[in-house]
Amino acid sequence: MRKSKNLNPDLEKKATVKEKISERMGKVGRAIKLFFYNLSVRLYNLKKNRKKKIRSAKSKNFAKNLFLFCVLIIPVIQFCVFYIGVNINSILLAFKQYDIATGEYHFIGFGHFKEFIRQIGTDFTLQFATKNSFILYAIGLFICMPLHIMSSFFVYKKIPLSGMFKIFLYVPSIVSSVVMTIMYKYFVDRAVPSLLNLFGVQNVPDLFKSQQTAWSVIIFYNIWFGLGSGIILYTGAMSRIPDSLIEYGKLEGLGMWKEFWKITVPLIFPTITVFLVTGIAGIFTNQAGLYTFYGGNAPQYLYTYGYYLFVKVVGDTAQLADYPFASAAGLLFTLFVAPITLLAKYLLEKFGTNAEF
Amino acid sequence: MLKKFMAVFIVAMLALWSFVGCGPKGPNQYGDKIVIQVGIYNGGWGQEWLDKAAAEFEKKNPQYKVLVDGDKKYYMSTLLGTIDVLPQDVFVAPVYLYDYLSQDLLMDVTTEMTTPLKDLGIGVSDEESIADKMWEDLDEFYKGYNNLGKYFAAPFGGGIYGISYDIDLFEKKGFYYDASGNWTKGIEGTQPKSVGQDGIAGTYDDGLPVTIDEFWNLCNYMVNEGVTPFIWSDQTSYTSNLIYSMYAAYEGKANFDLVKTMSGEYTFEGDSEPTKITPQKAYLLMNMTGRKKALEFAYTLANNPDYYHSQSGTASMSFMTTQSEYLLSVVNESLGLGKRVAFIIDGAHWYNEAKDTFNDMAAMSDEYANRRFGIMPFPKYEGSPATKATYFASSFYTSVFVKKNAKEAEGAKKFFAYLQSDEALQMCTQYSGMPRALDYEMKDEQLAAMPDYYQSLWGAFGGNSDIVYHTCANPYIYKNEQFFESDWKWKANTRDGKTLSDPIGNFRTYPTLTVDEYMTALRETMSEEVWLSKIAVGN
Repeated sequence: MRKSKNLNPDLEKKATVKEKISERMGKVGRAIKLFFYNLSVRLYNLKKNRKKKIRSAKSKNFAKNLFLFCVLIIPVIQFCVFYIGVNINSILLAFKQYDIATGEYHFIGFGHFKEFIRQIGTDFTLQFATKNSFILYAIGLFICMPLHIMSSFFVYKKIPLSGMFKIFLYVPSIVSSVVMTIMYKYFVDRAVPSLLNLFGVQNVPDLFKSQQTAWSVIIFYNIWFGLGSGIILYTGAMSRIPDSLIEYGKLEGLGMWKEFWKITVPLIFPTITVFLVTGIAGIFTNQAGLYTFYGGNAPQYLYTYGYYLFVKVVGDTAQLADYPFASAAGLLFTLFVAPITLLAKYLLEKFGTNAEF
Repeated sequence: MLKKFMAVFIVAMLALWSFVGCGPKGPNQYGDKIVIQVGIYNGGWGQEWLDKAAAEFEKKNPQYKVLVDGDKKYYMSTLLGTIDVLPQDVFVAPVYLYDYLSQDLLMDVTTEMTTPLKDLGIGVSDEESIADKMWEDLDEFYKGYNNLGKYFAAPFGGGIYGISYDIDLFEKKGFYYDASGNWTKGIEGTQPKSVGQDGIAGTYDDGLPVTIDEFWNLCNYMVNEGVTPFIWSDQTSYTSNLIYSMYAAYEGKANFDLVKTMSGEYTFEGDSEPTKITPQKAYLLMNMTGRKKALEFAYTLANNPDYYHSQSGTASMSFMTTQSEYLLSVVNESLGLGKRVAFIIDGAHWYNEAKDTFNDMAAMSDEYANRRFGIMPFPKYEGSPATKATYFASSFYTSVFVKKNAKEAEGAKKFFAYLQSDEALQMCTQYSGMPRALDYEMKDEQLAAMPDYYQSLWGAFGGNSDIVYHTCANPYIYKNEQFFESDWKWKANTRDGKTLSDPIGNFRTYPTLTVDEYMTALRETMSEEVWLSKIAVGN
């Protein structure tokens, strides 16, 4: 067969170089494969020449258990030390007082518990914290949760503009909270007064400092910026609902709202249960983002228990002498919340919808 | 088979990585030098001075290499939990010393503190020991609070709170007072400035208002001249400390120190006889006249919106933003975008913190290079018992210390001692502006090399004035440092449910709030019952 003339000598040169490179690569690859093949043959021969031990079932079980033990020992030790040990220490700390002179802790019984209960009645900070913590929980339960579920449903049903809606709600969860806080501060401090001025409202107070408006500003921040994380979880639960059920509902003439109440809510009820139960546990730990806005200097009237304890233990002015008191407060909260949480879980599981799919 | 072999091989290699750090220590990158690691809280005062002190120490002691690390982790309870495992041996950090001492975390530096520095072999010629330079009441605290008569740390210093002003603006607009009480630019060819509060010509307070009437008169004049007097940030501690400093300025050191000592007598307004003050009765000091006068200052300022920048104190005005707004107000004025601002309410460290803005402005135009600022003494109210200008210094719990399990103990103690030598103290003041809480002098050439603001701070701190603070050996104070740094100052609750803690901010937020109402709230909030519960902790 006659070789066809290549009218472009450069192309021919490039093809030759390419061929040479791929030929060399092929040689290297084959050499590596040969090396590992030889190695595996040698290892096989080594093993073949050994007497094969016949292992008993007991020995195999022992080996398996030993392996599991080795894998789990470090995380278990860590759990025992940093969770069980720390919590036991915290519980014991609640009954002690720190002696600044000697650096030692002395047992004082229920002194801190009595003092904390007394301060709830007399200390303005704790009175505000009590009120604000429960208000925050109620807002989470009656406003945030329905909002999350409804928003998730709209996103799940892909109503018009749901894509844009999704982005607006997800962005606060993706962008750094410090950035979002600064933006929110500027928005409330500068944009809102300017907008209100346009509508003829003069002498707009400092919304973050005014006792009449500061709490509302914080609540709004918590509602808006909490939407993203709630939607992610609820839409995840909703996406598991079989399409066949939805189609069946449509065939039966269910409109969107009936579908929501009759199908969607019952089927995502386990997810709702999780939020309800953890919400109760969060009454005394929710800071409402106060530290992000105010650092350790939030006005007294904005305090929540979560913020109060955080500042007491981790804040700039925290001292070792504060730890036992904070520990006692935490223990009291646990004693209050734990039975309610368990009861709520029991009632929700017993009387909630148990639809499975 | 091969796969199993490869799996075992890879796991073994990963496990071996754990031992990479083991083995004998080889020569470090600094040869045979002994490395001393130093940690400094990287706050407003910066670490330039410490870098220079380290370099100077290395020159005098070539067997050492000093590595300085500036970070915000060297702070209070954060450092308390990590100091043992940090590589640093020497620290310059804000701490509640008592917590560290009770946890046995500090090295005994009594020898370094009590031996003349020239005899410590660190290359300095100071005849005095560090203890000789200590202020009397601070010496009691650093030696006495541990009941051992030993030293475990040396004081660093604390920011003073005063009104910082723009010298260039004062000269340009003629905001200084002359001897006759008229306005003057105070520059060559104009009327010379008045002698100021200290009564001495040629000092930092020349031409500045002496009485409160003169001060408000100045503010009114500024407003008429198209200048905004004040700006401040959302940091309530700065405005709160300024007003607290005002209270100290009224009372003077002798009266103000009653808070520290809880021992003495005070004649309250309206009383003909003095009241004996004891630890059990110290809550009565909430009713000191100086507090009322300070609140009157805050009230007047807050209720005159013309006296301050409209964004002052709002949440979007971080301290850095405020410093920029203050410094750039000169540019805004030239562009017709806003008014120039005369005073900033901030800690004295603001000047060092704003270095980037200064540099940016200098790059913008030569006109904005080498700007001059100063600190002014508080104006005096009539009847003030203070005999000198008085400034309150907070953060006096910032200390220099060596940790107990220091790796290079001898070197660390030597560097610790060096940091308290005259030349290191002078370096600190020269490069950061911070006057250290020890007795020392600044050389004329050093002062001449400092920016005007630092010279002004030195004049205020080291001149004919008193510095007051809460740090002391009184156990009721040091066992409740958190309380005296926060609640004691201005925290109160009114009968109608207002919560107060920042006078200027509170008077702005509550237009109907009066000074008398605030004073009543202070007295009722710091009742005898609440006070005695605090004393119970101090016992």
